[in-house]
Amino acid sequence: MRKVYVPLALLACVLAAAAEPPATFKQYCYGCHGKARMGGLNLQDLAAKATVGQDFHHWQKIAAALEAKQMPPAQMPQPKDDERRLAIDWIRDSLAGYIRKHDGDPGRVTARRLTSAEYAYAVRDLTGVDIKFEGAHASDAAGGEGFTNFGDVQFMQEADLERFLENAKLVAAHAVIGAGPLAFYDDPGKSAFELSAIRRIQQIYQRHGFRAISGEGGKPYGTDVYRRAFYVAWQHRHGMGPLPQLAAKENVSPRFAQHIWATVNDKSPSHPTSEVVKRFAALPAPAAGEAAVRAACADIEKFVFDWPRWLFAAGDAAAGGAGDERALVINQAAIAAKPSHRFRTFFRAREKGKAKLFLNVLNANPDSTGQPALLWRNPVIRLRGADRKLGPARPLVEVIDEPTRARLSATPDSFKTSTGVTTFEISLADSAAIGGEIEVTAELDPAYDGDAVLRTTISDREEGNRGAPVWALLARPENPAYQRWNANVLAFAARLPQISHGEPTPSDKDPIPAPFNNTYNQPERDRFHVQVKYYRTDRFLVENMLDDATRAQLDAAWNDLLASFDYHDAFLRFVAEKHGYPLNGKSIAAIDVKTLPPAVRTYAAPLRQEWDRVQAAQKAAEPRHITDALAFAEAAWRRPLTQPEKQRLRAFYTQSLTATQDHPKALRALLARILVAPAFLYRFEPAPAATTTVSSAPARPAASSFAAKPEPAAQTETTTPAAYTARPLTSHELASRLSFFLWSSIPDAELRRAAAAGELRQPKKLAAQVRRMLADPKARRLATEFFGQWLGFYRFDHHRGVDSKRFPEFTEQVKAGMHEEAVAFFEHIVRQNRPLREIVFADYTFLNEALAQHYGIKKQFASKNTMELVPAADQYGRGGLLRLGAVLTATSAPLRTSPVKRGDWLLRRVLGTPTPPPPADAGTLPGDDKAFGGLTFKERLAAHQRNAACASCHSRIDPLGFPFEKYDAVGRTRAQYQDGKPIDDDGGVPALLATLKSKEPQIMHNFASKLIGYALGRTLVASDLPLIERMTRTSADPTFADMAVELVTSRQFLYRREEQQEISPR
Amino acid sequence: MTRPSRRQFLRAAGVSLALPWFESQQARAAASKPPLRFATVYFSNGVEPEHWWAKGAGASMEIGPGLAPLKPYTNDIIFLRGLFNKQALVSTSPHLGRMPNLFSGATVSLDPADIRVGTTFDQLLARHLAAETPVSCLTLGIEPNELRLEDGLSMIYGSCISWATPTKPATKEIYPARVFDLLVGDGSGRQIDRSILDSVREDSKSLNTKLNPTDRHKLDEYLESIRGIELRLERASKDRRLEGQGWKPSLDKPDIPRPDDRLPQEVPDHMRLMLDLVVLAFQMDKTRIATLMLNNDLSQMNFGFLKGVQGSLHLDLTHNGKAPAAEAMYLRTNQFHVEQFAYLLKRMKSIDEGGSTLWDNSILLCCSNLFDGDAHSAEQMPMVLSGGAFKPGRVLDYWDKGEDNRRACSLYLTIMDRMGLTLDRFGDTDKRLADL
Repeated sequence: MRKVYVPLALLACVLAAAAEPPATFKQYCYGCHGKARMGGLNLQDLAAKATVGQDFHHWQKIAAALEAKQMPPAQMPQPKDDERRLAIDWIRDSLAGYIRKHDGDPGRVTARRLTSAEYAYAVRDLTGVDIKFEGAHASDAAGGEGFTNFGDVQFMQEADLERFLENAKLVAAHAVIGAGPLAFYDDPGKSAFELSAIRRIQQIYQRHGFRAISGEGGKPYGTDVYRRAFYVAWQHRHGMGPLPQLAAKENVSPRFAQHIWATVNDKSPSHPTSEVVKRFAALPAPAAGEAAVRAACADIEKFVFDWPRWLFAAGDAAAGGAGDERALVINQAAIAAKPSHRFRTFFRAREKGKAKLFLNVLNANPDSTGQPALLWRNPVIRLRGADRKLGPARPLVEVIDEPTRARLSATPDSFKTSTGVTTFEISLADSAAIGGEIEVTAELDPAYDGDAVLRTTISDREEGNRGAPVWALLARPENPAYQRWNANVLAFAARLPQISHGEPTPSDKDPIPAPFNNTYNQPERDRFHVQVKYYRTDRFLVENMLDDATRAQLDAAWNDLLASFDYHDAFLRFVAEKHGYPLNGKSIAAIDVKTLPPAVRTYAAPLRQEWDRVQAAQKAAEPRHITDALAFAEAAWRRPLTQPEKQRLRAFYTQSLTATQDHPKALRALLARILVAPAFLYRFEPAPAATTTVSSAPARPAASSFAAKPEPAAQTETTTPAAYTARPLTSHELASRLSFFLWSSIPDAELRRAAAAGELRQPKKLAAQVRRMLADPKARRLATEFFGQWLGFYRFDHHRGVDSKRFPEFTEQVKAGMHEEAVAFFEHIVRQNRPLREIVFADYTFLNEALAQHYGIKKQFASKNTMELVPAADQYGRGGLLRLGAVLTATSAPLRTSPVKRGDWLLRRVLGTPTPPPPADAGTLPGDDKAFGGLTFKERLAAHQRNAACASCHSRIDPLGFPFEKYDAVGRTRAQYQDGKPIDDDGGVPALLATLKSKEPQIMHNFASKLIGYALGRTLVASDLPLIERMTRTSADPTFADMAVELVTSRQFLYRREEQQEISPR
Repeated sequence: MTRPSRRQFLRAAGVSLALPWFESQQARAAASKPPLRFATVYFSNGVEPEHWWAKGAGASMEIGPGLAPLKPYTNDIIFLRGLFNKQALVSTSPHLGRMPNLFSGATVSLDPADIRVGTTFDQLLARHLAAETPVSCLTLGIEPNELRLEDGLSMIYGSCISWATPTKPATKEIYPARVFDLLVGDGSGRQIDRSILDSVREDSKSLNTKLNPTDRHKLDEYLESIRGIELRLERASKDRRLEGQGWKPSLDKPDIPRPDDRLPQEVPDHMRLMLDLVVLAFQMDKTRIATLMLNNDLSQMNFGFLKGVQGSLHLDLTHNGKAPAAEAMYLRTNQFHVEQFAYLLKRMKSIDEGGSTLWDNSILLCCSNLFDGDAHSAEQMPMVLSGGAFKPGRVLDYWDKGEDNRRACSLYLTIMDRMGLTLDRFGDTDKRLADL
């Protein structure tokens, strides 16, 4: 044990200052406040102690009572004025002497274990995931200045450690251990691995990709990237800057900008790309103005999407293709043309007794020659009667009128049309018929040998066709001109696609790959979606849009998705089944590709390659996960790891791997192990290896920089005697104190950086960190943890103190709203850097619709659940701490209000001057205000106060409680009591606020005391008084940040006391 | 400020951990009789004195209305009148000064910076019997720790009646599912857990030398917890394999399903479940000591679930202003608490352990720390004993026997004697309770 060095001369000096207590006490006080312990106070014992420091609360009260001549009581013998003065001076001098000697004493701080809230916040900050720990709160307790972060009430036993172990494993179960870096996902377990991969893929797709049509119920997104890219290209053309910069401004990826630039600069574009190039070339000059150019760029984009829609007759062209959810994937199969097509399609009677048919034949190849014509063979009609049954097949000629027949030169066998729209009316004869079905073969006129590509549809409406049955592309496949057209369209689709990628999730909109039947709702396609599930089609996105880092992330995510189940086995089975090849239970790992029949090999070979890649990538990521876990440990343990620690963690991983033969399991064990380590669970501040200590208290840290090394002892000994020994915290310990104070959690990367760089030793930079942290959303935790515990609304969302039968309107929603109101209010005070004065005197509050309704406030809200700042809320009787619903409710009894509880709350929590506990036999009022026997609460209480023993406290408590009486037990305003009696509230809260105005310094003093207790995790000591003074005087109107900076830069906060025992005499 | 030295601490915590477990198992295997168990059911906030009395003996015993649910069991109980704790009586704090010391007779420190009471006798027993069963004791409750100060003092005082050391309450479990898991776990499938605990112990070694005594004490708590878990897993896994002659627990596997992970919504269901778990633990001989707190001190437990009762326990019902309607409700809450004890009796009497019932092989105590709840009076405490270890069907009145002859700690000494732990002195006395 370290000896504390105290020079003899100083000791003598100290002893001299510690004069004996004056005789006044013995003469006038000990009679009652000696062995008799009147009011629980034994002054004789107090005075006999070596120091006044420990009992400074008592001594301050005693001095005040003497000064105000409250003591000795009037009926007792009174000391003469100089005797009284002597006693007061002795107290004040002794206290001042003690404080001088202990100035800046960091105090006794027991190592703290994370509270359940801190644990959850730390896990949140470590993983980015909100994990619910069932029953985690069970091990919390409050102590010290009333906070759960007080080490002496944080215990650890088997049951607690079991809980921590369980929680740690739960966190580890959320880890995503795949081909990418270590990450965490919302859900735990194996299926979460798959889900997290999907989510990561989707996030990249959503952020960087686009889809004109996004599957059933999905919305198109990202398509306007085209117009922005055209605009970027236009700007670049007009010399407005380099592409990458222009692209960045328009939020277009450099790769995509480059791609579009290359496309529009194609020297010999083919149709339909040429349309885009032409339109781009025709964009107006800069003189036309930005708006005009942007509008024209949007038109080019429109062409990009409209042309394929037109070609495929997708949906309602007038409505931009709506109504057709086919993914517009343009590939060889989709644009395969044939010389003839047998249509069979339904039509409806759109007028009574009549139906119309439109034969729409349009040439998709503008480069074609001649006049194409179509031959329609064997047109047959079946009518559908009112009974919905199809009638017999009849030649078309039988159901069209004579002029139409003549116009078409129709025979029962055929008729002929050229390009354009051919319309005819079908008379249904049976007026009840609801429509029918037409069957007809469209065939290129054998007489036509041109190279037209005929987009042909049959519909009962002029436009708006759906799906394959009504659409066909007619051309001669062997015709070289057609083949050119075909290649040109594919080139267009490759350059300016409708979708940048296929969705990762099973989607019945995106086509399944060859060789499977891609027809919608066909069994094979459905089975593919169920068994194989995923198929990656995102080449365009990867090649033309993503940057390298995002590509790597996407690859890793796809890798994880395909590794998350036996994807390749399922795929292989599917292929084998299709080709009737017996696998005999062989897995993808076991097949020998070379021995497979060619048809199977075509598909199996790339599958096997992909499988190999996936396995290799998973394996390759393993070393990185271990490194990531070590970084995780550094964040969790709030400091750099030592070499032995790193070795120990690696060894633990290796040992777990040996035991489990499973990398993810071993890594999860490692993560759990990191989270049950004392370095995570406890906030130890162990002595650094080479311990140097300050054996004294300097006045204040130097202005420019805090001592990184202890101040030289000689210098301090001359100013103050050694009352304690302390050492400065290390940078990382300081960062940790800071983050647990302001965020109830671990330091973030920036704070760790600042700590590592030694910046926290510079007062200005330290203060800047405090202000940064207080503006951060995480500072909201001060609202729940510090303000909630200080002011009694902690976990109010779980409050059970209201009788729900009496107050059914106090719903869970209202309760949550009140909690949120209080939290939002204090979050505002902290993060918006509002003057602390506003805590009590603000005229604003935060409400949502449900809460406003509960309070009876008629007001419009932007959204139903979000809290909104309500300025000038005093017009509704709200605003500030005293009128918070949570406070008013928490200080009530289940069935009625309690002015005594509310007054006591104000005295104790806000003013910091509690009355002593009531005597054991105080007696109480009935719990229900229906049982007051016709007396108001005030009248009942008045009777109680006539008892002198009660009066001394209640005369202080009650006047502070009655002004709240116009707020009922669930925080609503009320005009009268339930029994109709009027409420006498002594002017109400406004009058109370006026009274409290003069007590503002006291409120600030109390706030500062509580903040010190919270920040340091200990009870207040006498030597904190100067710090409190400094905190309250940081500015004329201090804010939370002002006080926090003062506190954080104090010796109490920056140092750690080394010795636990008091060595100084009084 | 004095704190226990590390050695004292370790001695206190580790008292009987050194006992070779297997030997004691063999001893148990050879035993032909079922072992003796001890359970306490505690309720807070006292009783209404007018309702709490008993006279006569056996089946003809008359009891006050507060004890009504025990009417069928007057043959099975001992009504103790007049026992008290001196240090509770003299404390200036009407609630917290009189509650956490119920089972230790110690002084409650009223210094906010020093949480300190005294090790309670149930915890001494737990330690004494630790080697006998996989779980040393069940410390159960219904309400979570209250997170506030009461008159400047931590409400941890009002939330815990079992204290493992003078400065550390035994961790109270309020989640039935966790209690269940404790009883069924046999240590298999927990190799990874064990290796994790083994590994973190290494961390502590390098840390230990750098800590000051107070913090080292915290680290010791942590290490003791690791050791506790490891021992339990070890015992549980061996327990299953144990083949022996003589007495065997009447139940091998739980006969109730695993409770839901969440807390039961309704208080009566919660209490019932906890009592069932106590019975289960005893029946399987997983532990021999159980302490159940039905409520915390200053409890605001809402008794709306009792017909005709409104309001919360402490503020509305205990301090009822002597209004007749409220007084009647208070009585109902007292009866409700006693009903829980009666249920425990009934269950235990129905379980046959081979010629004797579980009840025959138990000591059961139902008590509160205050007598007149409204007046916070600690001159005596309401206490009812049951179980086959003491001759039941009696009223023992110590009220007039003088302070030295009516100390609660004397009762505790006697109970410890019966449970096989003989101490010279406990709390404020060295005397055993007379006539028991």
